[in-house]
Amino acid sequence: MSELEPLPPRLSELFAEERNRPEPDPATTDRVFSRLVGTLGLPPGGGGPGGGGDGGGQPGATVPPPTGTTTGLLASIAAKPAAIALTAFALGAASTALVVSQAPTPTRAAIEPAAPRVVVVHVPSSAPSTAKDDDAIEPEDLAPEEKKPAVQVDAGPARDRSLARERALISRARTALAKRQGDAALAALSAHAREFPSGRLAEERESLRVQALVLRGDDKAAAEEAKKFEKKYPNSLLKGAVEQSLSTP
Amino acid sequence: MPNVAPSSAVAAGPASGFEAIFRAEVGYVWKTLERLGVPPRDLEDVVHDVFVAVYRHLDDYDPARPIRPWLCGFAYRVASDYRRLARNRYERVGDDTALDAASVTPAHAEMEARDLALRALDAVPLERRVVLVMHDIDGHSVPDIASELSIPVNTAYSRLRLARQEIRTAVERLEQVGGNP
Repeated sequence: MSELEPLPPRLSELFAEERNRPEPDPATTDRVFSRLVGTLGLPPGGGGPGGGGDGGGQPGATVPPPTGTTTGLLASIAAKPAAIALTAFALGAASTALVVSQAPTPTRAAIEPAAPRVVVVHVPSSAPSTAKDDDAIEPEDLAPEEKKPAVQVDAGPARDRSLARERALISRARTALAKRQGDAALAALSAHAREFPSGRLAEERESLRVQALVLRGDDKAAAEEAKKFEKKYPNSLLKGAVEQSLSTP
Repeated sequence: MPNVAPSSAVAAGPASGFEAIFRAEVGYVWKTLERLGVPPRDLEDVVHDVFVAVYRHLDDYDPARPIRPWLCGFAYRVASDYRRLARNRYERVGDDTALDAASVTPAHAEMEARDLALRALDAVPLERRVVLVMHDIDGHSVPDIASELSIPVNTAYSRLRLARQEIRTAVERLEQVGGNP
C-alpha cells in the first residue's frame, strides 16, 4: 500500500531545478521582519531582551505598536524621514489592530502591548463607525444568511473575510510603498477605494495615498489629499505620518 | 537545510528564538509558498502571515521534530486561506489591474512569470500539491508529512501518487505547447 514508484526522470530533473529556486534578498527579508516586529510587538531587532522576551511577551498577544506607544512610533517617524515607508507598515498594523479590537460603536479602543501595560488610544470621532462600515460591505460579499443579523451579535466570517480583503489591499499598497513603487501603491489604494469606499481601513488608505502621491512626485495632489485628510480625520493617529511624508524630499 | 538548531532557538525564548528561526527559515517558507501558488506580488504579505502564526504557536513546537515540516504545515494553511480570498479578489481587481497596466514595472511583470515547474505544480490541487512539495522537493518522509498535515499516512501516500500523476500530465502538456499554459 505504501510503496512508491521512483519519480520519472523528467520530474526528478524538474524538481532538482526547483530546489535551486532563489531565496528572497536580504532587503526583503529585513522588510518582512520589520513588519513582524510591528505586528507582534517584538523588541526592536526581535531578539534582544525587553518587552517581547520570555517574561512579558505572549505569543498570542494582541497586536501592539512596535515601540510600545503610538507617541513613540510617531516620534520615530519624525526622527527618520527616510524610513517612512517601513513605518507605514507598522502604522498599518497598529491601525488595523485598532479596527479589529473595536466594539460595535466605539469611540476609543485599548491596545495591549506585549508588556503588561494598557495604552488607551483615542480614536477620532470622525472616523467611520464600524456599524456604518458593515453597511458598506457590498452585497456580493455576504451570503444571504450572513446578512440577516442587523444587530452586530456576530457578523463573523463574512466580516472577517471583508476585513481580510481590505487588509490585503492595504498591505499591497504598503509593500509597494516600501519598494518605492508609487504607481503600484496607488493602484492598490484605488482598488480599495472602489471596493470599500467607507471601509474600516479608509483612514489608512487615505494616509497612504498621500505618501504614494509624494513618492510619485505629484506634490500638489499630495498636498491637496493631505488637507482633505486632516480635515476629515483631525485627530488621526496617522496625521504625523501624513505630515511627515509631505516634508520628505 | 536550516542553519539554526531549532531546539536551541526555541529554548532561547519566544522572541529571541523567533528571530533565529525566521532568519534561518524565511527562504524555505518563501519558496514553499511560491510552490503552493502564492503569486510573487503577495509573497511578502503571506510570508508575514505565516510567521505571525508561527510566533503564536511557538510554544507548541516540539524541538525533537524537524522544523521544516512543521513550518510547511503553517505555510499550507495560510496559503489555503489566501487562495480562498485571492480567487475573489482577483476577480474584483482584474479591471483595476488592466487600468493601471501602464504603470506596471518590468520587474512586476517578471514576478508574474512562472517557470515550468511552478506552472505544472499549479495544475495539482493544493491538498495534494503540498504533499508532493514536502516529499518530492523537500525530501520529508511521508509519516512526518501525514503528522504535520493531520491526515492518515495512507491518505498521504494516496495524495502523493495522485499528485505525481497530475504533475506528470501537466508537464507533458506544458512541454507540448512550448511551456505555455
